[in-house]
Amino acid sequence: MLSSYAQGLIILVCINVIAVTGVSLLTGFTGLFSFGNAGFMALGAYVSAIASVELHTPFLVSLVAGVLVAAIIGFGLGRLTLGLRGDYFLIATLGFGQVVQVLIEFFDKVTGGARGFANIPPKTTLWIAVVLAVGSVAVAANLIHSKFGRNFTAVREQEVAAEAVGIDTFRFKQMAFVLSAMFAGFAGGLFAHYYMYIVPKMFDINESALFTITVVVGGLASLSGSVISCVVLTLLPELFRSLASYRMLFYGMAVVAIILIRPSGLMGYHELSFGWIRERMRAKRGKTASKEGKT
Amino acid sequence: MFLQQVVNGLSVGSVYALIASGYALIYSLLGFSNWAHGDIAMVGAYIALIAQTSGHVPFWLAVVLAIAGAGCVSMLSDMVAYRRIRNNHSPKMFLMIAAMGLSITLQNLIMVTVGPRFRTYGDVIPVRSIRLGGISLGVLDLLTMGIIVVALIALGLLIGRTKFGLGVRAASSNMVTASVLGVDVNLYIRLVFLLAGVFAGMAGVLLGLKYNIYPTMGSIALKAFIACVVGGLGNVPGAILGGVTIGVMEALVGGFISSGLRDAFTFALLIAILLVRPSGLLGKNIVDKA
Amino acid sequence: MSRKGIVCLSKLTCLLLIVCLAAVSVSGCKKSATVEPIKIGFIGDLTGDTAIWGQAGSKAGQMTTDEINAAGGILGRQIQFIPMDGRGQAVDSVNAFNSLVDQGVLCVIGTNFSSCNKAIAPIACQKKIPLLGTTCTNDAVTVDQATGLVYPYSFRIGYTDEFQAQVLGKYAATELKAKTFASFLDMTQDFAQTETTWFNKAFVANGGKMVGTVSGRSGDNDFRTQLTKLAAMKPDIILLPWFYKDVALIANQAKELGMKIPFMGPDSWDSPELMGLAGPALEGSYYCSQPAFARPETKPFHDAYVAKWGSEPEAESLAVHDGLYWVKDACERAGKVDPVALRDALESTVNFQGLMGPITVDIKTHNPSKEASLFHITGSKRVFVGDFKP
Repeated sequence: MLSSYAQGLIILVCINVIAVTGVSLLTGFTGLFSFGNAGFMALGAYVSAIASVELHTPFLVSLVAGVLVAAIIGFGLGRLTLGLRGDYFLIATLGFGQVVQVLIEFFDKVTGGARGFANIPPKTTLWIAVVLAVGSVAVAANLIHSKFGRNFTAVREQEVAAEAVGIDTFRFKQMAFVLSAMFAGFAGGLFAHYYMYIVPKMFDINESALFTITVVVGGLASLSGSVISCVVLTLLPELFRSLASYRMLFYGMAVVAIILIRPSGLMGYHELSFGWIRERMRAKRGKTASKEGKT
Repeated sequence: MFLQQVVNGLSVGSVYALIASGYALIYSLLGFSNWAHGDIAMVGAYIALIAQTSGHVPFWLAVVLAIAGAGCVSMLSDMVAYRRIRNNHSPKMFLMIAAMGLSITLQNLIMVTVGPRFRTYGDVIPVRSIRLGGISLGVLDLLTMGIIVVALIALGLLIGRTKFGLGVRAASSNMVTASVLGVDVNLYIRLVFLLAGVFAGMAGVLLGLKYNIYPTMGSIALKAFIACVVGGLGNVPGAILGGVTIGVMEALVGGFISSGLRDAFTFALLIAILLVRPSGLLGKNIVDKA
Repeated sequence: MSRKGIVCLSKLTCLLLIVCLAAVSVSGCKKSATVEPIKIGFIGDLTGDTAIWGQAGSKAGQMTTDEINAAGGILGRQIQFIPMDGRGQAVDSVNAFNSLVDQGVLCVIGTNFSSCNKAIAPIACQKKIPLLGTTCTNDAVTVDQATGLVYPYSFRIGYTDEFQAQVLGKYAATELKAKTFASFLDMTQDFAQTETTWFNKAFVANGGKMVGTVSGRSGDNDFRTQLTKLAAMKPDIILLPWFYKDVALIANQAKELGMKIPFMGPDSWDSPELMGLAGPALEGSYYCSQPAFARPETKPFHDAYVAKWGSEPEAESLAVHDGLYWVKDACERAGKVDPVALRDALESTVNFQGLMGPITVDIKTHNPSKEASLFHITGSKRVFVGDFKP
């Protein structure tokens, strides 16, 4: 059987993948950069935790409650801020993330504040996490390769043209934002029911930044890129624990390097698929063949 | 107590204003928010610290080195990172993400080299206060505010009255036209980064004196950014007004409503401004070009 | 992408996860040796804002391990000290704990953050590996707050917030003759609220009154808004349950505002840096801490530490030192090296003499009965006042 250390890591990877999938939809495909993702994760975590512990609701109901609250607040926040320009929107979402943290600390009678919220029943098992992670990726992939996905891409690439053609860009931005909030809230609920104890510091601005970094490094408009990047960035610090103090330094330098050298990210605009791999191998073989042909 | 809180607010706000003006300079020219600005201030603070402790130079020289050093780091960050992204014609967001990466890099570079411990400049300016009619004013505070006022006036004169300032204003208004008219835009961009870095270095040393020196001290720049937005992004006078406004508002909210929810109010103000008057209090209405 | 494409993508995700599984399992493989040393794990904040404590603990652990090994180890076997970085975060600490358990540790010493230990405690009980918190002070570390029952595998070396807050409260009311107090709380830390509550209980029990509380956040720079509010309340004492770096900022700013009200605080003030950061501003203040370097018995340890590492030790260092010797003592009493036997021996400890004072474990709460050392700050120096119990 797997050691609990390994299990714990895989579960963490799965939870992060779910959240990152949402961010990928929002940032990678719709082109909206947000730093409030951890705030929605916190909402999902705390609402589902409070539901499980205070109201004794079954696991599924708690999760759904978390997702619903995240969705509603995402909708509201979206209405207020999605009309704003890129960097204003970013700051507004950043502010949202901070405010969620402050409010959780302030209303400590309900949330436990900095003391944390404990005794959450451990419901997230390895199989649940893996199945849900794969499921989330599948749902997102489905969305992307549908009419919605094409509209998201239209918003990202040429917003004005999209408007001109009659696409309600606001509505699609709204959709992407609410979806990302829901994915984050879902991930938050699973997180709470694995670690059994949550504190506001687990959902601070560094976590939000990390999600965005993951998508940027993995590749915009590439779901598989985001997933792979998420897996790597979650596991890397554990595999290189001895270099822990250099971890964040590497991340920072990696982000700058990626943006400079390959700004669309490692897998930007491409999806990992058997067809793609086959093509690359064919291209490589073709190159060597033509070289031989020349000599 | 009211007056004391206002004084508290002005004191904090003046620091916000100093950092915000550096932000605004870069924003006005390049339209991007330099996330790493606060960390350049931090680098300045550390340069002064290292010069003072390891180099054993007198404090005033350490400050000069800090300001010069921060200016250079700022200029370098443009030359190494931002210029490439601009020339690639990548979306503006990438600049912000690169700045974020740079910010994390700088913070952690200091953490692994100098260490995460809190440091101080020692008793360079003793902690003393003056009482004026029931209000306490720290000596350090007065000095800080004085320096900031002088610096901002100098900045205003530089931008408003010199040839250099004219070039900056031209370039920020329309870069293409300015370059067609003979303004060496690249040189100006470099100089603006230098200038912003100098201001950041100054802010860093002042922050180090008032508070303490630690690798994440640049995070105060977030408030400075909000100040910029409130005052009008890309507008140096707006940034100053925004900084002072936020400072005083925080003091009054913290003092009379709730010190716990103070930050929530600041962000609520941010959202409110963005909704009601997104160009800020003093900003011009900039429509996003297609 | 068609139906096929979606299936393909899902397949790949599965594949990826399986690859990770393999990679991680391999990395978690135990290496066998002929004469295996006894592995004792340590989790502390080796990186980050408060790394000074975690590193002090880790260094003390290395030093003490060498000392114990030179004297023959535990029951004839050498011990191996394995430090891991918990970064002061619950998630990283839990991962570190799981990793240490996989590496076959006998027990884990750490952490100094209550939030981390609260997260690890139920897992320690599940895995049956004793966890010895160093200076984490929250009650919930050893006692499950929902059921009121103790976590059988969670112990602590230092005292609790309740304990030290009561010592402070009683001292303020009885010795300092204070009639009123106000509390300035750090919203981001759990000990702030606990200390305020228990200080208040002891203070009121001895005839005093609380006049108000104000909150702030650790990480902010400027606290003058809150200090002005506090000054207007005119308390005799201000309770300041913050980390030393914030205490320094707050004290200096209070001085700037011309405030003369003395402060009182718990062991989160305890750091040799505090005097350097805010000595003059803290004139007349008091704080209490784990019995540490004020005790003459600690001098040899202190000197050895400074000689070896070139820096000052912290209370965390003493806690780790005591933790290792306590484990040694418990193993010797149990007669064997085994986590379950160790747990029983730890729980039945009576009067183990550590450098931080004697430990006698209360079976209902796993809290060691100790005293708190009270210090007075005057002339930018801290002066030992005495050891107290509430």
